[in-house]
This record gives sequence, C-alpha cells and structure tokens, in this order.
Amino acid sequence: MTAQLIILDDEAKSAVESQIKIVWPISHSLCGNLVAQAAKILRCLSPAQFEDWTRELLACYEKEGLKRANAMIASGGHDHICMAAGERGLELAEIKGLLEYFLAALTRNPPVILAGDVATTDTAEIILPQVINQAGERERNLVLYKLVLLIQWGYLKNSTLFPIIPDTASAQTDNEGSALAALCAGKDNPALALTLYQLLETARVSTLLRELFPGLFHQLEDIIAPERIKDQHAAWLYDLCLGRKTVTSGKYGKVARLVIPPGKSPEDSVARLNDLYQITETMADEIRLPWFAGVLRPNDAARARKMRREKTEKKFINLLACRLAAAANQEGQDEEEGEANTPIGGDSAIMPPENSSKSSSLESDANGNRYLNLGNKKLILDLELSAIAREIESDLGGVPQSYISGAMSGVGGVPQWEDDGGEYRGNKDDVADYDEWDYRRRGFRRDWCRLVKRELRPVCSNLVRNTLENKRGLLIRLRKSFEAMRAQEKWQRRQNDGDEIDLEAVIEARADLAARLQPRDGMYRRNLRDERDTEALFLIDMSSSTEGWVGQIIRESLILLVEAMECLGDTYSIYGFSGMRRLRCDFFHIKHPLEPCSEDVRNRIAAISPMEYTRMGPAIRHASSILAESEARHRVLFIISDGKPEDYDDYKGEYAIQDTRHALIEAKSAGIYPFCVTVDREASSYIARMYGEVNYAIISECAHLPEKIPEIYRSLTS
Amino acid sequence: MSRQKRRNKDAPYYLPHDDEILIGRMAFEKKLPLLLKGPTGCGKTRFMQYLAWELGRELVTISCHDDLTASDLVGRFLIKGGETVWQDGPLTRAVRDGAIFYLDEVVEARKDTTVVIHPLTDDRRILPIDKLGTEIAADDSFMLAVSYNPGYQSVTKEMKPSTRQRFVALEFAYPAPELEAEIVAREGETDLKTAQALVRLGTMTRGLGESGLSEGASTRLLIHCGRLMAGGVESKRACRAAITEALTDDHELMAAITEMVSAIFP
Repeated sequence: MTAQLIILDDEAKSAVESQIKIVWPISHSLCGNLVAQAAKILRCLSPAQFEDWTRELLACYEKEGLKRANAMIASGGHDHICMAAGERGLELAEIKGLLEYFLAALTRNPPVILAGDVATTDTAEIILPQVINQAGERERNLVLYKLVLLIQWGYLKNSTLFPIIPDTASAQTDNEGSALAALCAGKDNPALALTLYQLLETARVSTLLRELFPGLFHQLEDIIAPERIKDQHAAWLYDLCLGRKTVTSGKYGKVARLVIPPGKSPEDSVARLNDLYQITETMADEIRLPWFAGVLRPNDAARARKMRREKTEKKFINLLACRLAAAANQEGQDEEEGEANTPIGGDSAIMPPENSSKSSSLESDANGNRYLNLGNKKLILDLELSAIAREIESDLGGVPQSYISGAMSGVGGVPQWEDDGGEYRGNKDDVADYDEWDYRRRGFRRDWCRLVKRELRPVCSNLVRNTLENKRGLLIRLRKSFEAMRAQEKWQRRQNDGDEIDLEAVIEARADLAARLQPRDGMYRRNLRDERDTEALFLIDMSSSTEGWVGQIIRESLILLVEAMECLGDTYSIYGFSGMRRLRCDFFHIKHPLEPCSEDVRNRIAAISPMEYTRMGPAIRHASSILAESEARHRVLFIISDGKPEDYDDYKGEYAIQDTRHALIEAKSAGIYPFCVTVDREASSYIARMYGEVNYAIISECAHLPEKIPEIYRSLTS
Repeated sequence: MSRQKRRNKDAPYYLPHDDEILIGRMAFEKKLPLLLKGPTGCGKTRFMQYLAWELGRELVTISCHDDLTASDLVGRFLIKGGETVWQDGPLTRAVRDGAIFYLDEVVEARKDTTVVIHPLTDDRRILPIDKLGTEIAADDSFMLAVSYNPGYQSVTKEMKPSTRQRFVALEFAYPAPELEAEIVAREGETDLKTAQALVRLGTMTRGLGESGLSEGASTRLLIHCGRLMAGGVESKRACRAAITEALTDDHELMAAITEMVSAIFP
C-alpha cells in the first residue's frame, strides 16, 4: 500500500492514512481499492474534501454493497465535487426520455438506459451516470450526457466488447466468457491491459463519432477544455479519447503514436495492445481514462450476449419446429390426396432425412426466397423465421446444426391440449363458445373456447376524482379537440333541400337545360353537423402483467377517454378480458354500447384490476360479434394491451399469435377496423404480424398513455 | 391541377433506386394503370414527371381532396356567350389526348368521385360521359396513375380492395443514404457534405416511428432545409424551421430532434 501513496504529497498522504484506519476494519477489499485509486481521487478532491468523500463512500458501501462502492471510487470523486459545490447538476432522470429518443433514432431495439455511478454497457443495457455536473449549465451537461451515451453506443456498434481473438484458448470461451477478458487476464496487470484496450477503442469510436456528429464535438471543445486544464496530467488522455493526438514527444508521445491514427476494427486494437502494454507497464498509475469513457465490463457483456443467444435459439427452434410440424401435416394430407409432388413453399415444408450430418445453410433461390437446405429437400422460410435466421447469421456466421436438430427433434409431437373438463355452472346465456384457429392444421378447433361474460363490481374509490383533478389541463385540451371533431361543419352539396342555394349546381343545371338535357335534382346545399358515423369498442387487456403502474395508467387513460368520448358523441363500449385456459375466457362488462356513461361505468373502470392470462382470440371474436350488430358506417375495435397473447396452457408463442391474427382477419372481413395500442416495448417482434404494418401504436413511455389514446382515436376516426 | 409541357427539353431530375422506371415503362406499353405507394416526399410525383418525360407524354396531375367531384374530373356544360358549350374536364382531355393522368393522394377524394376511373382501369379503357351520352375510348397513349400514403391510419380513408386490385403497384421508400445525399445536394442546392449530414438527420428522425413520430423527415423536407442553408440561413435555424417544427408539435420529440440537430451540425 505504501508504494501507491509515495507519489502523494504529505498533506494528501496524511488524509489518506487517516481514512485507512477507518475503512480497513469495515472492509479490507474496499480499503485496498481506495488506496489503489487514492492518487486519482486526489487529483479531483482536495485533502480536506477527502474525509467527507470517504464518509459518503462508506455510506454507499453499507447501503448498496461493495460493487457500488467500488464504482463510486472509479468515478474519481466527481460527484462529490458537484454536491459540495451545491450544484445539483443535471440528473439523468430529467433527460432520460430525450436520450431514449436519441438512442431509438440510432438503432432498432435500443438497449435500455439505466442510471448508475459510471458509464458502461453489457449490450442489453446502457448505464449512464446518475448525475453529471461538469459544466455548470444544463445545456452543457446535456452535451456531456450525449457524449457518454454515444461512446457507449459506439462500443456496441463497433463490436468493441467482442473482438475476434484468434490463436488463443480464450477463443473457445467466446460463447461462455469473454475472450477479451481472457486475453487481458493473461497479462501481469490485467486491469492495465483492459484500460489500454479501452483507450484504443475509445479513440477509434470517437474518431467515427466525430465524423457522424461534428456538431457535438464542436460543442465539446468548449466544454471539455476546463476539465483538461484542471487535470493537466491526464490532458493528453482526454485528447486521445476524443480521437486527437496533442502530444508527440516523450513517453506520452510514444503512447499517442500507437493510439492515433486509430485502427479500423477492434481486432486492430487487439493487435496494437501488446506494444502499448510494453511501453506503459511502468507507468500504469498514469493511465487513467477520463470519466466520460466509462468502463468496459467484457464479462458482463458476454453473459448478456449468452442470454440473448439462448433466447434467440429457443425462439428459432420453436418456430422452426412449428413450421416443420405444419409442413409435415400438409405433406401427409397432400399424399392422401395423391399430390405427392407438392410444390414447396411457405409453410408447406417437408420432413428432412433423419440423422442428417450435413450442416444446414441458409440460401436464396432465384426468386429471392430464403430457404433452409435440409439435405435433399428444402424448407422455404417465412418472413419471421427469415428475420430470426438473419439475426443468427450475423451473430454467429451461420445457423448452427444444433438449432436445426433441436427443431427436428420437436417435430411430430403435436402438443396435446389439456382438457380441464371444467363446466360453467352459471347462467347459460352468459357463455358463448368460440372456435380457435390452429395454424398447423390450417383449420379451426370447433367450439374450443368458452367465453364467460362477467360483471365488474363498481368500486367507489378516489381514482376517478383524483384523475380528473390531477389531469385537469389535459382533460380540458381533450374535450376541446374532441368537441371540434364533432362540430365540424360540412356543406353537403346538391341537396333537394337545404340552407343555401348551391350556385355551382344551379349553373350546371342552367347549362344542362341549354343543352336540352335534363338537369340533375338538388339545387341546395346543407350545412351538416354530426356527420360522424363511427362506433368503437375498447377492449382492455386485464392480464396479471398489468399489475402495478401499468394498470393504474390504463385506468386513468380510460377515465379521461370516457370524458372525451362523451364530448364527441360517438357510440362506444368498453370491455375487459382475461381468464385461464380455454374453458374460462372471462369477458368483463364495463360499458355496453348504448349504456349511458354513469357513475357506475366510471366506478367499473376504477375496478379494473390485473387478473390472469391473455387469451386474445375469443375476446376479439366476441368483441367483433358485438360490433357486427352495429349499423355504424365505421366500426373500430380498439385494443389496449401490454403484451403478447398468452395463456396458462399451450396458448403461447406462434400458436397464440396466429390465432389472434386470424381473429383480427375475421374482424376485418366483417368490416371492423382493429387497432392496437400497446406498452410492450418488445411488441415490434410480433405486433405487425397480427395487426398489419399500420394498425398499431407502441407507446414506449407508459406515462403518455392518457394523452396518446384519445389522440390516436382522434386521428384514426377523422 | 397542372399540365406539364409535352416533351420537356430538360429531363426532370430523378435518380432511380430500383427498377421502377422499367416497371413504369412496361405498364405504359401494356396499358396498365399504376399505383404508387409510399411515404410523403419520397419521390412519387417526381417519378411520374420523369416517366412522362421519358415516354414523351403530357402529365396531368390532380391533387385529390374531399370536395373533388366527378364533374371536376370529367367535365361539365358551361354557358359561354349565350351558347352552351361542353367543357372537357382534365380526365377527359387526358383520355382523348393520350396523356398520363395522375391522381395524387387518391384516398383523399370521395369514393363516389374516384369511381369514375374504374372503367379506365380494366380492359375496357373507356370513359363514359353520362351528360353527353357517349363513351370515349382512351387513346393508346393514355395512362392512369394514382398515389397514396399507406402509413396514414384512418378508418375513413382506406383504399378498397376492389379499387387497388386494378393497378400495378410500385412501392416507394426513402432512397438509400448515398443516393439520397446526392438528391438532396442537387435539389437542395447544397454541397455533398451538408447533404450527407441532412440525410443522417433524416435517417435518425425516421427511426422514431415507434417513439411516437408517425413519419420522419421526408427527402422533400431535407431538400427544403438544404435550400434554406444555401440561401444563407444558419444550419441549426434552418433545421428547426424546415424539419423540427414541420415534423411534430410534441415538445419532447421536438427537444429530441433539436438535440440531434445540435449533435450533427456545428
């Protein structure tokens, strides 16, 4: 420990030693890390501030554990300066939404943004500092947040965490651990090796970012400059991490020459690492990357990647097994009908030869259809399977044979449905049996589901009053905009009777007369109000996943929606659905179409609570039967959901999606327009297949539901 | 409505992104009507202008709206100097003269208006004029084209299957970034580097579809922005006027787009 303190002056050394006595009995590990980083921290904090900071460190350790405390040490004391200066800084919570939009604009399926002490990513999440206050003003701190976010994004986009490292045993650990971590572990100072690799990559990423976002780097010149001045020892590292070389001589110059110009790939960085390590081994303490670079955690990334790959593998195997089963059924039917040479396409697949040892490969035929080569036959992939296969290919270089074998071993076993044999003993008028679409057999299971109509007991709670009070501003805006829809005036021309003479019709009639033609009737025009001829049914997912915040927001949204709909005058109804298994699909009455919007209706909305599962097919079919009785010209089925269709039994995955999709197609065929609003962030993987490319909206921020739902309804029906 | 001069000497600027010119030419040769679908400002109308120039035909464009009547398209009797004179509508003129007739945003017109085009979209290729008691057979060089934006969601404005199935359809999307930059540089009167930055901004806004922005910045908006910059407007200000404020009224989305602009433009 003494060696690490030698470089400090007497005052700083004394400050550290006084704190060692306090921290050591509490945690040896924490104390060791504190001493190791003391020099860095004391570049940021004065010796007088060090004691206060250590007190905060211990509080963090006791409350959140060693990992968080070590992260606080890694942040080098910046946060403490901000707090000590009485400057709150810019908290992530204030601008998280904005940064999420920024990230969504850069990448499909963006990682989740979370707050932490130091910036890092494991590919599934991007952690950003909870607070940044380096630059005083909000706008300048926001620039820094963007830099930190973009650097983490840059690491992901440029494969920083997963360089290909050949000729090492660690290459075999690619799927289970991090090859990068293994490479660094082979050095005497693994932490230095990782830091140097990160330096190379940060320089590379920053150079790319500078080309894409010159505006950001222009802003940074002004903002980063004071930090560099404050921390003279590390100024050259700041510059390197921003892709600039400002030192050319001496030991730092040697380092800089290996970093700038940067390589083109993470493998280039790996190739330079050895040389860089050799010249910096003796000055390890001086190699501290600036805070905005964050930290690399390759093992965390490897773990997250493994989980993602397992999820994708399972999805691919399940989907492919279903396709193979469906095709096997089809082939069986075709053979019975004497069509042995069925053309291969879409879901009509074939059974592959058993024990095929040949690796599969995805290929494209002359028509651009992707297919899986299974030996002497081929299976043409549909869009969803093609997309997943492409994802696997770009990740692994090809679809592994084990995935194909896994799917094949699942073929031939059509899931046996549990028949729970339950019989509804209530009023028979309250039940309705519905078919369920089995896409594998391309046919219905007749009267397979039993829908039970239930009543929701109204609940007198403060929810209605509180919502109307708290959202008064929004409510006023909604009422105004919905009233405006209703009060739209429209002149209907060529009427037999009306408010004014239709001059154009009269002129045309005069001309027709002169041409000795019979003029058309209708010389008047009428000012029309209430032209709307729309009926809507709002179908609410009441599954257990809506527990908590989501359910609360849905109830608030409905309370506001009801107020808006009352202003508009469209006929509307509200029902909820949930249930368990096929013989108990519950359909809850909240408001019938012609039922007045009474206190009971509002109290039934307040009574909406999370129930069980989400078997969507029967609910949609029953809702469609209600709307089918309407004579309105436009009939809208508006579904509010928070996730995929899924039930306790085998109603899940592809089967559930296909049945829901079929129910929606049946609704459309009956002239009903289905539309879905969902708060499921992963909905993009399935929702377009069910509702079509334009008939849904994903609300990423649940809190926006109360204003989004009426807005969507308004644009949908005007 | 606009009539483009027959056989423009200068070709309208159009960079193809796929085989749409080939399909368009073949549809013309085989006397098939065209349906162009794609987001706003991605080049549908410019494609029609180019196609008309290539084929050496006149282009008659009608922007559809709710008040458009069948008489507006087909024609009506007018009284001129005490005499009654039949005045051909633009559709009738196009049918007689063998022009290309283009109905832009066809779903905006009422169904009882657009039904007049049905006999022109099948083998008959005739236009019945009830008031004259005649039918006009379309000239061999007549072609009908319509466009619409399938991204708009509205129960009141959908294309009926019985209508859409009469057409050969071409899907338009925003061009690939390199191509789009070339187009923006040329039409936006700006340099390639600025155009590339604008395309980068446009691409980012188009990624906000699932964040609540129904349509990202079209190529047209990027061109507008380029022109403002070429005219001397400061880049961030130009982006705010031509893109941010035009795209959305949602304050959060506007703030996010503003940050994108700041990140891209110094």
